[in-house]
Amino acid sequence: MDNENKPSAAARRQFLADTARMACGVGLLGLGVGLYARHARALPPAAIRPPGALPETEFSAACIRCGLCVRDCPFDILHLAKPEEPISTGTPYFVARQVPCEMCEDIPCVKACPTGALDHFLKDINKSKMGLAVLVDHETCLNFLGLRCDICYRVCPVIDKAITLDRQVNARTGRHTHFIPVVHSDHCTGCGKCEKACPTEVASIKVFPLYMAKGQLSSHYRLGWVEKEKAGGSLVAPDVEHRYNLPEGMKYESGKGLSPSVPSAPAPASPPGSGSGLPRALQGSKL
Amino acid sequence: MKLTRREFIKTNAIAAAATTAGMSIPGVALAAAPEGQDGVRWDKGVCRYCGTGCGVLVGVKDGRVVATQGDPDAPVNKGLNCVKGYFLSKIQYGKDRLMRPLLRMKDGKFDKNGEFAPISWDAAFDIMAQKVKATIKNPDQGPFGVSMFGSGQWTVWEGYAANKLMKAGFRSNSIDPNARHCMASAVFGFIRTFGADEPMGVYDDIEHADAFVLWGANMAEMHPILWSRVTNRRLTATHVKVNVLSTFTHRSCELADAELIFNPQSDLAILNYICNYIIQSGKVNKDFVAKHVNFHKGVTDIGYGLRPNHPLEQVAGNNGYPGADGKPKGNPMNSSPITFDEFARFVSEYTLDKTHEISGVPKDKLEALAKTYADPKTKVTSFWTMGFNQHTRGTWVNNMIYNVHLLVGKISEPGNSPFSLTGQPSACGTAREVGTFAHRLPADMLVANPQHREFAEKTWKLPAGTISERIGYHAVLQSRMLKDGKIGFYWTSTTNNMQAGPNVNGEIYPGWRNPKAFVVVSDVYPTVSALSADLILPCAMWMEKEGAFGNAERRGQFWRQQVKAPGEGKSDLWQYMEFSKRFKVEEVWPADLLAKAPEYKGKTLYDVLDANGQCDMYPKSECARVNAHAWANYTNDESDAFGYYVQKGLFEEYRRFGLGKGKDLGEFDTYHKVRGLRWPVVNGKETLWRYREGYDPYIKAGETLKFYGKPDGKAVIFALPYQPAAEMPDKDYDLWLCTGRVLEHWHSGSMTRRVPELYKSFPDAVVWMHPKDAEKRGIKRNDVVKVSTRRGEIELRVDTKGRNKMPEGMVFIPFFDEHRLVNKLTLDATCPISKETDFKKCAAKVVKA
Amino acid sequence: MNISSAIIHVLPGNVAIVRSGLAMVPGVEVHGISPEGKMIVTIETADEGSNADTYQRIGQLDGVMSAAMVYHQTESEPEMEVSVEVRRQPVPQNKEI
Repeated sequence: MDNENKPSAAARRQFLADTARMACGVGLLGLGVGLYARHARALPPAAIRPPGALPETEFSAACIRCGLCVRDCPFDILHLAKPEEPISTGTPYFVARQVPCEMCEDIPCVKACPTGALDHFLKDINKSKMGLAVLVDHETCLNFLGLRCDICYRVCPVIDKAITLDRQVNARTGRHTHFIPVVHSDHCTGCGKCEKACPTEVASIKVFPLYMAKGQLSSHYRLGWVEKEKAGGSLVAPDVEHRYNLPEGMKYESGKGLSPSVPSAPAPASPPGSGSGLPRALQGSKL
Repeated sequence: MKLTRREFIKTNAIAAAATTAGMSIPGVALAAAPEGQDGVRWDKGVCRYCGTGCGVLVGVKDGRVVATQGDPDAPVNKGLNCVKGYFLSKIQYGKDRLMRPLLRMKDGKFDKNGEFAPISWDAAFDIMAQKVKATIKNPDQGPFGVSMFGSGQWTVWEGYAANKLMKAGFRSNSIDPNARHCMASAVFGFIRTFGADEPMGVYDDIEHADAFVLWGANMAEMHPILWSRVTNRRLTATHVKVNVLSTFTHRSCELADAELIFNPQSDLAILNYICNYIIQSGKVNKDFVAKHVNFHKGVTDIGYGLRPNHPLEQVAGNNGYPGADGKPKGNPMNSSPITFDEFARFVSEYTLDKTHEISGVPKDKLEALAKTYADPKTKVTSFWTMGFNQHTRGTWVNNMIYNVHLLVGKISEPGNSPFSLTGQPSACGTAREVGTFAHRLPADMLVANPQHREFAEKTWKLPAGTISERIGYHAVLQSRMLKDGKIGFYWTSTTNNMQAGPNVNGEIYPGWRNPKAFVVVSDVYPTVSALSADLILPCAMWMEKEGAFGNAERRGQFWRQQVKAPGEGKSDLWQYMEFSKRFKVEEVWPADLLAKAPEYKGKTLYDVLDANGQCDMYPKSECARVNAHAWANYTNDESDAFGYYVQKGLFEEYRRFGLGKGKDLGEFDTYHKVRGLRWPVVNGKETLWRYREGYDPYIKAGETLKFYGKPDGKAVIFALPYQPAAEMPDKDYDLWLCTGRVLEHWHSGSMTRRVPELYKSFPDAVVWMHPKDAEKRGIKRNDVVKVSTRRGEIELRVDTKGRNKMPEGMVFIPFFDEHRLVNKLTLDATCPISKETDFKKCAAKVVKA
Repeated sequence: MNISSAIIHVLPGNVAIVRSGLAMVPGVEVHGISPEGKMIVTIETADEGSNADTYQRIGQLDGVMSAAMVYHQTESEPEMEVSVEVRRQPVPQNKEI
């Protein structure tokens, strides 16, 4: 992350750098190619690359600023960066909150790309990774506040895969459920429909370039339950059978704990939690 | 992957050219090879830190632990870890691992004031043996002058081998674990009330409880995985309530339905008030009390565990110290039977008004808490740790929480559980069950009990009279005896007392540097303690040896040795066994004792203690056979060194102590095939709730419940009063000082401070104080201040916000930071019964530095 | 330091000659050769001037039809370590060069 400067200064510097590099480019195939990358980190977070764009560093190296993708976009979503913008001059991008990607089935922008800066292996638009939606503000997201909004969920082109709703007890009312939107990075394409559609004054869910949006677990730690599923079973020989001292009528199972061995009549419903005196962790204002 | 920028740019350059040319380049493909099929071998293990006992899977590649994961099959944590557990794979690989024995030397010879220089193990054991023999012969010191300070982080067999070497080999009961600082009060509470150590319940209580009460336990930071279970219970069952009692507001208070911030030491009054409320409101479970409970009144004038010449001790009539006539002044443990009515009268003075006055807790909150315990329909689980245990009345306050549970019969059944948590991974498994305390033998047996000594001597094939009946020096007494020149040889392992022990300036440091003492520290990193020693021995840690830990719910868990220790590092087990070869029996035992076992003449302690036909009965081939289900041809370093399956031999001998006594452990082989077993394990079956018919195989049909640790099967409710702390704020030192931990660091930080991510997350200790206290002293947040007590001073920064919110008049400092040793300030006052230090209360002042 | 990559078109049958010629030019490394005679090379030079000289020398080698620079970057700290993820390059289909 070597570029933390203010947009204007960064833009000017980027422009100068681009110009300088143009000057030393050598013609290739008559296209006047100048391919160069300083680090791609200059891309501001709101600028999303078209589908199939290579990782930013490689993308700015491979993009020849020809503008063919912009020409072929049927919805006029893509722009080419102008010298005064803090993006490598002449490269294509879109801003989700203004106009999100419509995710054309035939992906004309990729087809138009002459260099592979947009990955020609991308045949299924649902596999594209333009960015990643992030529920950035839990304090303003209506679902986090207990309201039933769900707009982002319902507008999502990959509904129930890219965004799901996680049900959690609403302890404040004792009777309702928080439907917490959860974005799944393996399905989210970063099209930006959710950001565009979010009803709060400033979007509570936003699309960011992947390098900004995605955390990464270090390789020294694995998720036990994921590894177990991958391996199709325990990585370490399963336990021999456990047996317990138990009174009659009770059973004790690993993972479930103690329960009657004969199911009893369902317990009466729990009384609702009172509205006041809740733990701070469960108070509405915190969520 | 790592590349230089040059390589990185070149790769990109080639890639760009290749893309343009429509070619694929093998070199680039290689650089992009996925890190999938990584050749990591996985095996089960246990987290190295707290007493929760989370299962982890350990990934090894090329002889190095490269990764860990929470074990999804581990019943305790089901694949989760806290942030410390997340970084477990890094704890063995700090850059400053100790690689060779280091001795203080000048001109090629040992010199107490010399500089550390590397020596061989052989030379290290030579000088150690010489010092041990000299100490035993020294009339001022004798066998008890050979002293050891061990750990609740010892593996089970390490603690067992140490205990045997000290109590049987050197005939010194002066061995104590650092668990003395951590849960000795819990132990004495259990023994005094129930006659048997360790909780009756299990973690499954959490899913059955209707109310939780935390007494001086910040589970949100100190037991994060158990806390997530408590939180889940609170979230999924809306009637569940969480009550948090503390002397300041911490992270656990976030989830509290009721937060009760009380004045230090007033927990004693609150517990008596709750009993009073239960009695006054007619909520005593009379049937339960009649069948299962006796009442006693304890002696009260018990002192504060300070040195005998301290004014507070001179006026104490029941502290057990020698009086003017040379005879002990009473015994702080003493108590006499009373009736229920007498008990009711005793607690009747703890009215709501008086308790409110002493504790500062609003009356409605006190009453609501009392109602929670009193309501027969509410199942209550109480959790506590250091707030109760590190307390000059720690044994009392443990007794008194049981008073509450016993009066209403809320005990030994799912959800009704007084639950003492532990802070170390094997405080239960090694310190308590193996009995590495100065007064204990394995399986709740005591050195002072002739039948217990006889049992131990027979089990160990030793002549009668080998084990001394005298209680040895406990942790705090060891420091004092070092300073007084009564200890000539002191060996500590897997602990860091120069940082974690109380009153470092006044007692511990002068003791260790006393020319009459030779101090050996076995450790893996150059801790403050190691650097204060005369000899440092490099150790194997965690996955570098085969091990066993026992967690707070009586669950014993084993792991296989995964990797080798670096350099010349050796396990403590190897150290104790190999060192015992340096002593002929006649060099350490008196002639009359040896005369009772003439066959031992000329033998070494190793021959007598280890190669005794029991510990060495499983051939080395057993290593591979027992562990064949895990990997082929398994072996471990100790078995290679001694030629037999050392761990199995020791464990199977140790197991004999508890069989048939309600302390039954499972068979060695089984533990290697399971994610732990909860004892007593009888006929291969684990026990969940002790003392309860149906769950506990020791309870016969029709008995319903029996506290079989006591001869009459009845637990004891103790009448004990509120008494003030040993040192309280006054005009010179006007603030309470409390010490403790933070989530990111474990204890003295010798492991977590070496994980860069954890270090960065909380690099330096701060002092938390109330903004008004700061303002009064002209201090702003982040200012450097000087905190001082009558024993010393340290400088550190102030925090008035963040995770801990102090009440006015109190400051809190964590003890993980070796550059800001808060234990220079603490007072070495202990519970006179448990001898556990009160690290939570002394008087301090804060000024701008 | 200047690091650049280029595609060199080689006259049919001249690959071996060009290879040995390139071996004489300091800072040049060959990374791949396609059956049609396209060669991918990287050029590392200390400064811009020598970069241009190197291109000139390559262009004048026997058997070289053309040398086209594709990628160029200047790096002031070439030995500094970076953590990166490198992925396999897609090959564009149906593109004539």
